[in-house]
Amino acid sequence: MPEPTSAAKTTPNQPLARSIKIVLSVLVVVQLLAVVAEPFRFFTLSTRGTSPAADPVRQVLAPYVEFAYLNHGYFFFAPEPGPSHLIDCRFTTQDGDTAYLRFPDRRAQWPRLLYHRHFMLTENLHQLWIHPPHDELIAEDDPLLPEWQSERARFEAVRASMMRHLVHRYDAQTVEIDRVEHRLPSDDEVFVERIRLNDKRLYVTLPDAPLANTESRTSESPTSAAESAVAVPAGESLEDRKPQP
Amino acid sequence: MAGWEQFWFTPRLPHVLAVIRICCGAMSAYVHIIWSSLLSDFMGPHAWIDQPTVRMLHADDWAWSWLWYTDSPLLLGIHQTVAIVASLCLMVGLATRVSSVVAWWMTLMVCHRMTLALFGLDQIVVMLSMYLMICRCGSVWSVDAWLQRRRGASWWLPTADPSVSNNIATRLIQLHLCVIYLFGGLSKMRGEMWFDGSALWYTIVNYEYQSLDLVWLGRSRVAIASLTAATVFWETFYCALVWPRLTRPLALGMAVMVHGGIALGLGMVTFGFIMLVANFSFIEPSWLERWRGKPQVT
Repeated sequence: MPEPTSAAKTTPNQPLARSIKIVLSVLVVVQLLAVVAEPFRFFTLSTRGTSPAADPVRQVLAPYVEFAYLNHGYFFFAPEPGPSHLIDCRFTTQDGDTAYLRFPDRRAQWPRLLYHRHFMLTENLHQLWIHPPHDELIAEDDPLLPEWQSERARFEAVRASMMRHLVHRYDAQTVEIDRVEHRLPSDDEVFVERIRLNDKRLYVTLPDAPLANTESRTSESPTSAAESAVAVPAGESLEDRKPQP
Repeated sequence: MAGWEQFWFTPRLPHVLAVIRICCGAMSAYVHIIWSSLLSDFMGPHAWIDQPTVRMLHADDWAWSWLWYTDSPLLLGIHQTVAIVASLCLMVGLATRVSSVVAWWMTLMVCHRMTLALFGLDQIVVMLSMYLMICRCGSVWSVDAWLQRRRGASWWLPTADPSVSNNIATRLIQLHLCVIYLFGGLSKMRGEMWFDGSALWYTIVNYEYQSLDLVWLGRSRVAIASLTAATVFWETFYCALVWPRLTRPLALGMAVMVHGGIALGLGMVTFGFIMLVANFSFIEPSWLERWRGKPQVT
């Protein structure tokens, strides 16, 4: 067995040459700029766009920032802790019956990290949501229209991907997805009105189209997926979870 | 310039980074195991976000993953096996020079594939993995250290002497963490709830996050508002409070409480834990040595 080299064990690291220190300093500065670039740009985002002070560095470093997965705003529970967003899925099974699922479901997705992955999928689907462009916008050929349509197409593509997954996963004929918002109750509602955190009244099925076109739909709650959602553990058949009479 | 030199180029012991390596490797392995438990659902041909969709989501940016081009169960299985093995090797410090790079790369590939299913945990795991690549975190409390004692030191099996690379990695983790908290705090200032004192209430009554019922806290609006204010002030000023030796215990103590609360109360044990691991970068190696009863290294 070879003995450890005493030189390697005892010789202290050689001091770095000045040129190496300069190179390392430049690299360190670039790294720090890359770390700050995205949260700074994200922080300056407003209805008027982003700050001209934030854009140049972010654009120059975009290849590195985006590939190295440094493009985060770090807006944890900010600017406000908001409601959760879930999805209710209404399946038509192979034999023509209807079954329901809600995602995420902490009883069905375990361990907790797996539940959280599903939660992020439904939350991000909501974050991508933008309603279809108004008829007036299309008629007037508004300059905002292409960007609006592009964002809508992005949402629809993600929703369609989720629907394909659900149809395949649960061997269904079709599936419809409703976005559901779980409103956060105030302290008065909890302590005075005794509303439980998972009270049905706190869940609202969100319309997909502009509100003016969907008032009738939001009021037809007895048949909405939100009120009939049934949990199905991953892997379990929809056949076991058809709505009970 | 002397201050810059001292800050970046003072050699540092690897012991704190070794602790971070062990925790980060374990967390990375756990994350990959969870992905693998439903591999078909997340990366297969009928995944929640399928390949065409994830490529469309990244059409305008520089993200890239080779997982955008395969949904073969065999290849995905091999990929995840390599990712888990590399993460475990990082954890135990086996071939750390290589395993740290492989673990980072595989995690990065998965992150770019799993767009929309990610959260803060993934950001911190990638961040720590990236900085662990450039230091000698495997030179102590590792299989590499055991091999180094038997076979002798080399670039692959470095000694646990103080080194500049350890210091640069530590400084980058520390500064990155300061940026995270600073913008986490500043972003809260764009809302009202963090200032009217109600934000913590609306965090603990979020049923989808809740893992421990802390609703009883809401019976005291003063307590809720005080904890809300403490959180936002701590987060914003962490980048200043964590450097002086006098206030560092306060900043780190608050980190333990906040992230412990997130872990236990909001069901994000993984995220809370990895944030505490990142905070560990502010522990001086000499403190560890003192704690272990070893003479201090000057």
